Amino acid sequence: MLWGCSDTFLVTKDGKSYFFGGKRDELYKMLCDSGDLGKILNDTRLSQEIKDGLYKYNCTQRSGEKVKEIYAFLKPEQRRELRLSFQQHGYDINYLTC
Amino acid sequence: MFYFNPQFPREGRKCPSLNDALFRRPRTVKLCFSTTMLMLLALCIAASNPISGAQDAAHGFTLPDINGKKVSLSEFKGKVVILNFWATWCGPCRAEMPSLNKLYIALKDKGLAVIAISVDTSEKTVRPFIKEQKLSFPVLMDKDKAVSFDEYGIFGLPTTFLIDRNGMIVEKIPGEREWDTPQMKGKIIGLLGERNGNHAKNKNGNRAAADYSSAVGMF
Repeated sequence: MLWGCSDTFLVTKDGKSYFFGGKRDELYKMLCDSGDLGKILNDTRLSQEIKDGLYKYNCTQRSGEKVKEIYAFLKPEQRRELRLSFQQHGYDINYLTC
Repeated sequence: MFYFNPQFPREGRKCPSLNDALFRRPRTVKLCFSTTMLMLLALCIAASNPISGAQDAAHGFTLPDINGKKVSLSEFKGKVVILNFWATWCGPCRAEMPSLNKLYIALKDKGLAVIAISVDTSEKTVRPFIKEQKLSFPVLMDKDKAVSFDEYGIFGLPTTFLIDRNGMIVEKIPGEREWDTPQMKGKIIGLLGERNGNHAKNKNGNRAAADYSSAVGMF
């Protein structure tokens, strides 16, 4: 079974979109330098292990593959937590055209 | 390099003992190892997907249509459902809609339901498209992505799920498709022929062909 037609979902803020887990410097500035990802994760009820993993592989040891691995094991209610927190912090979840 | 030999293991043939492995049948050992590794790889791939495809129950949902009327997946219980996630800004999504509509019109009386879930943020762009394309199936709005993201974990558009009569996801299809090709129709008709995990039988007891033979004449 195929995973889908793109690597991960897109996070969008102020008209700029980047793949969650991507290695673009602009994404790093937007999510990590700004402290946004830390706040977004802290405002969820995800386990500390998941929060640490998502932060680590987005901001310190940047690895799209690891982010995908963590995301793949999230349950629907955990994906909801993540989405709502992104949205509460001014981000939107977006999709890429296949 | 490993390769899969569909003839192996043959009936009555077993993976070799340690003695065989070390001294007598190295080729057989390699084939057994290859088969085992391929099975493990398949299990890993399946485990890494939020919806791995084969026999996962479709997540239930209730969403409004473009007029605000609430529609639930459970209303389509017992039908084969094509669940299509799309958006008006997505070119391939728009491109596949006419063929999806044709497929639906051809097979709706046989038990096919199509539900299109738009992730557009407003009905304003969706309503004219439905009218222009004369879409016959329900189009629901998932503005905040609660169903597309949370429940179905999709990344790209269009993404389509085939759901059998028992509410199980049988396939996840990323990207644009021609929905009214003979191959696709054959696949859907095959699903329509299944009921409660078994193929329906016609008067002569022939499996699945009952629906297929009568439906093929329609195309």
